[in-house]
Amino acid sequence: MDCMSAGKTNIVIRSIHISTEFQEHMDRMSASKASRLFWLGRYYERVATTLTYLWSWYDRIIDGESPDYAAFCNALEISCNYRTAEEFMQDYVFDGQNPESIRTAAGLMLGNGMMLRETIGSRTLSYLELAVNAMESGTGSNTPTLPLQRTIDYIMAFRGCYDDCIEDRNVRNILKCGAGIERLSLFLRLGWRLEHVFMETERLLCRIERTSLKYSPDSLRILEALPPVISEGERKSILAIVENLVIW
Amino acid sequence: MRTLSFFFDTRLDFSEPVTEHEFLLRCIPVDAPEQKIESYTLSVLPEGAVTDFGRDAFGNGYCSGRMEKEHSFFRCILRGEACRDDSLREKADASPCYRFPSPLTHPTKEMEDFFESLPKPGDALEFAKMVSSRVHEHFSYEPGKTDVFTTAGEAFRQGRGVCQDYAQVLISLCRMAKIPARYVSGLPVGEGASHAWAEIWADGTWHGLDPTRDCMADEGYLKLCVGRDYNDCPMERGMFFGGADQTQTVFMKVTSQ
Amino acid sequence: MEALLDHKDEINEQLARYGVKFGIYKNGTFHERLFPFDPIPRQIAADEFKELEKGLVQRVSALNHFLYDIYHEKKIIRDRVVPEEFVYRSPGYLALCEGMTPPKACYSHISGIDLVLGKDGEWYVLEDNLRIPSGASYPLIARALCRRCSPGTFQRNSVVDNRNYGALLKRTMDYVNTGGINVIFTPGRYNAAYFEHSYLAEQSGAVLAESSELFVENRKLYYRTSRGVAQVGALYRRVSDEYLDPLFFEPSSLIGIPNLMDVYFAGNVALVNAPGNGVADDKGIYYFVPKMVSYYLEEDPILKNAPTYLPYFESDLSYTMEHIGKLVIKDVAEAGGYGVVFGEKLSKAQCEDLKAAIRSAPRRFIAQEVIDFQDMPISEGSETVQRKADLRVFVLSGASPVVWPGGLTRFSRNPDSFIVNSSQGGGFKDTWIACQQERPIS
Repeated sequence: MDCMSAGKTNIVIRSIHISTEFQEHMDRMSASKASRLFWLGRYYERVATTLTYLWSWYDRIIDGESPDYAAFCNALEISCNYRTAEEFMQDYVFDGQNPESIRTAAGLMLGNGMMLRETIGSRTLSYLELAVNAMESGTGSNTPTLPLQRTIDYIMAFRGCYDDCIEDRNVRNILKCGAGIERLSLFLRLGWRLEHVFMETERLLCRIERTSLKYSPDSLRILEALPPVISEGERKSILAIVENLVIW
Repeated sequence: MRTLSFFFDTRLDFSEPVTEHEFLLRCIPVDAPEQKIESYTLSVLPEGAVTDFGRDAFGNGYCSGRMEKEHSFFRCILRGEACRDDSLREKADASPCYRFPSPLTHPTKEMEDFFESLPKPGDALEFAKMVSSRVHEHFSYEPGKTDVFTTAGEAFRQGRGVCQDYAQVLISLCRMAKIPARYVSGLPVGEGASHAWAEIWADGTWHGLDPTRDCMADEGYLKLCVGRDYNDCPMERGMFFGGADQTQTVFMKVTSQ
Repeated sequence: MEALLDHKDEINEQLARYGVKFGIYKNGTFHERLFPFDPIPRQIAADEFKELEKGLVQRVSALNHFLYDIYHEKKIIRDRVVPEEFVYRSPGYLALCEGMTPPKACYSHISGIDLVLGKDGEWYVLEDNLRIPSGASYPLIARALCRRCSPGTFQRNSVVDNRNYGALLKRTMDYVNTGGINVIFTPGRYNAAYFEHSYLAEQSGAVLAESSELFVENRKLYYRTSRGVAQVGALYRRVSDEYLDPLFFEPSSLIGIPNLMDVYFAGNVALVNAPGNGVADDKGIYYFVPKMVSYYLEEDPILKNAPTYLPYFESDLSYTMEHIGKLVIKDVAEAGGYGVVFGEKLSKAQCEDLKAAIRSAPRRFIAQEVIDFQDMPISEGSETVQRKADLRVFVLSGASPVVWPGGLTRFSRNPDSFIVNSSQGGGFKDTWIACQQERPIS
């Protein structure tokens, strides 16, 4: 008797469906890679936009003005352990040990980028390296805006480079979706540039459909119906919808 | 000659559902002249697992598989019939790897001293039987004092352990005497938990020795898996996604007609 | 060459821009450091490299024969060329791979052979690395950046262009690919060589993946994407054997892929390099490599080993005991052993201890003459200082072994150190192979 006869075993042999055609670049991305791209988008935008927002604060400090950093922290829902505006401008911007700082966001930006080298390319990645190095050089400096300006410059160069060099549309669009969501999130939280929200939302919705990201159709519909001018009262609810648009 | 009916049931219960469960089962009975497998079935539950069969370098069959969807228990049931007849054993060379220490059977200084104190080997089988008895005397059977990562040396030092420890110490001592020795996991006549013993190679064939019970592992023993030590033959191993706690229940029953 | 040194600052700036770093763990936390680069290249003449090339191809071919033989017929043991202890006691030997023939019978796809140049002008092999030799990415990117910083240097010097490493790697993976995509499998971002993993993925067009992105089903390996799965045909794994598969090997491994070995046994994926290669680059086996060349290829070995003694053999034991003061002793047992000990640095008591240890377990040790290797100039500040340096040459084996024209030259940081490990603060240089001169030099 053939003791290994398969007929005697009741094991379920299931076959799975495999897409053998693998030419579409869109398919060639794992969920974790998509997530890294998305977060790379969010972090570069967080660094660039927050620095832009804080730009005028440096100028006001020269004249002895004290910007309302407590309100800022409150709006971003981050802790506010700073004693003075100077301390805020140093630690919130440059302190790599502070998990909520811009420096930390820049580190996460680069960290995500490093894990995407073969997707975005060494050349594109080098701008992130430069942005972080520029920021690093500003720590403790008495002319912090100069290195920060370079940081923003390099992030702008990064944006231009990935738009120009990365062939894969999905990759570009995921990055842009991450950046778009971050930008909207900052505008809505800070109540800043609210007049841009309509346009930024339009751009975002148009892009997200061209990515492999999964998104909530309900949220999409609400955002599609957004009025050109949003009221102060709508800010929080729109923010929640934007933050939860992408489903992981 | 003895005909054995066997039943072996391993069940894992998860405190919360798990997914993407990869598993490797090394409890496919070895088919050999002295152990003819008349029939067997291996069922994996819950349904929906994708399974395949392979054969490893030690000659064991194994079943590898994956259960993608959510499940809160995993069960593997083996049943069948075998005909055991040690008079049908065929001569074959032993792989050289059975003569050298393996990760779990590296001798320690204490084991070397113990080995030195033993009468010098003459006939390999007689020597191994004597060592098996000495190992049996050295140990007291105490579950919970060792685990699957415990080496022969650690178990020997505390003198307490379970069948796996007895077998690995015996294997280590036989290898010191340059006698090829290997680890066997399987099911002896009776019921309860699965068992492990040793085999030593003498006069061209393998001979089973059960140091835990201080006897030969004769025709009442069904072999499922062999290797250099426990690491080569855990009957069930798996990995899944989820933070669940797991409870394992094992039951086996072997009867002889 | 002068010109390249003049551009030292620009080169360092470029290296920082491209994040040419390696990671180290210090007090339990992960740090990344720029890998210090010295702009003075190691230069090897065309004829000299041609000879090295022949020797390396020969050596790697013999090692590949050895691996096949050890996991199959074991003729070399039967013919008493290699004592069986050296195989079966080697921590790199994998019993589970007995009888397994990897795709195209290729074991060491990427070999890193460490060489030193003695003061006698001879090259000596110090070590074969057939498991996961790392380091090719550093000279690879450095070359590209140096060309950018000092184009004139490369116009004046005819240096073999070796920026094709990525293409070579792709060819090597394609050759053994069993059907599917090429993947570089990394333990993750916090691995010392993460830069290399990501850079080689970019250069070779392979997908970089961690274990969570890969899974096994139906005895096949898949890369999981958001829109389905892709079968993997070649896996350049940068994870060591013991952590490769938690079900077949170390069960606590979280960086491995469960049941990967089953896919490999079924012939459904090529693992680059093959599991079990450690048996051939073991410190004890090193002694036998020249003998393998004669045994398998019936040729005289072209490359020399450092003069090595095996205390396992009676005559070598007595030589080692007599001359221990001038020898370097290496413990073959990798972890928790004596490591590498220079006899001249031992006190009398330590020396007696070591001798006793060797006598009680002779197989565990090898003894070597200390090679007095040539110093190399290193630029330090505005000065040039002399340091010890070795050379790792990469041999990529597809249909036949190809030597990458260049390599990783590592140097020690301290003047009296022989240790060129990057974790010890050393740096690296580019290695220039001169083009074959076609015109007479005027």
